[in-house]
Amino acid sequence: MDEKNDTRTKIKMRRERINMDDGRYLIFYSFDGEPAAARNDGKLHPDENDADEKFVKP
Amino acid sequence: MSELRFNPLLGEWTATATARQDRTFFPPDDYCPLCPTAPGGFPTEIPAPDYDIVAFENKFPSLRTIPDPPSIQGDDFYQVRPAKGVCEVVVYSPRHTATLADEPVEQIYKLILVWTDRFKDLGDLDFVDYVFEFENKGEAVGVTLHHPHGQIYAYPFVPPVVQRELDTCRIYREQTGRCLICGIVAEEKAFKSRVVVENDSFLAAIPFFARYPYETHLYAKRHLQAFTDFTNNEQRDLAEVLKQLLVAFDGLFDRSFPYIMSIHQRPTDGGVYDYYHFHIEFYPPMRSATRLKFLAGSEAGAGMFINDTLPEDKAAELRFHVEPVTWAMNRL
Repeated sequence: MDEKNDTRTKIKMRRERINMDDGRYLIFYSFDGEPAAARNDGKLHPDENDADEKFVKP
Repeated sequence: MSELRFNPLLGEWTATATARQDRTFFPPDDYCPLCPTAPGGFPTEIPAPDYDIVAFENKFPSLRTIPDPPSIQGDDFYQVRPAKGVCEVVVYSPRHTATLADEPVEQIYKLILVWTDRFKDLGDLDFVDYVFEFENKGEAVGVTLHHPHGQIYAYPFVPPVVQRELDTCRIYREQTGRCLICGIVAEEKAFKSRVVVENDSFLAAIPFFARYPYETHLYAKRHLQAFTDFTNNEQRDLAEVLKQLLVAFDGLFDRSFPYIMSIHQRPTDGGVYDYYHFHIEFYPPMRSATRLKFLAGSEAGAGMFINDTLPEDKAAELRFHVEPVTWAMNRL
């Protein structure tokens, strides 16, 4: 399925890292759901997923 | 105390981690260290009343970023090194009684994004040579906490099972010019009878050489080495095929199905591994609804597994339980 016609959910991920009292770290991952259908306007959009921007091969 | 001790006979490292003997073991349901911390309630590992997905350093790690000094002095014969690395827990959902199979496909997709981020984050550490993302599920595989979660071990070396795969893939590429796992995917697509489920980007099959009755391998169809190579489509395709496979597992005996899920990616030691190929391996210990496959003499002592079943028959059983996936936001 090509990206333009993929109506499945695309998600923007955010992370918040905290340090716990014993020195260990913990990362909260949160997500903003964005239905691809809302963006299926036939136009190309920049990928807003922070993780994907770094990792998708050119 | 924890340290790494080298086995000169097998050429591999073993970790001692004595603190793990006292790790949390089947806490009562009203206390779960992986649940959200309820307002006014007993604090858990996660200091929030709700969360989506969380990753944190394991409280009882085998590897640490600042390791303890070894408990014993090594020498030229018996090498010892500090157990330097990272052990993380990834909590899949705030729902205590859920499993990954129970979660909507969107949650599995989020988890893939988290796995990708953890692979990149930990792989960038200069003392990490391999990031191993995995899940132990079910009492039958020794799970001590029921809340749905997986783990990540960031090793300071390439672990032996992956090293063997790297070696065979490299040799095959040198001899033929082709990728060994691409060849496996092609064979399974052509033969069909061992395929459990596939989509545009992934294929899950019981291997020709399966060691456990329901051992299943999930291969990327495109030749890639790690989560960080995925396209957006591949991330979502993996979420779908994982959902389908996990639901099929549960359908086999109409109960939550124990397994070890082992994600095999390229090392992160800066080497070139373009001959390797991303895949996920599942080792379910059940051989029937009431019987486990134990690793006995031939398996544990000699490394040769004996499978009492035929992969083609088991694949047919699993295929029967594969169901289509519906995305909540899918536009029909």
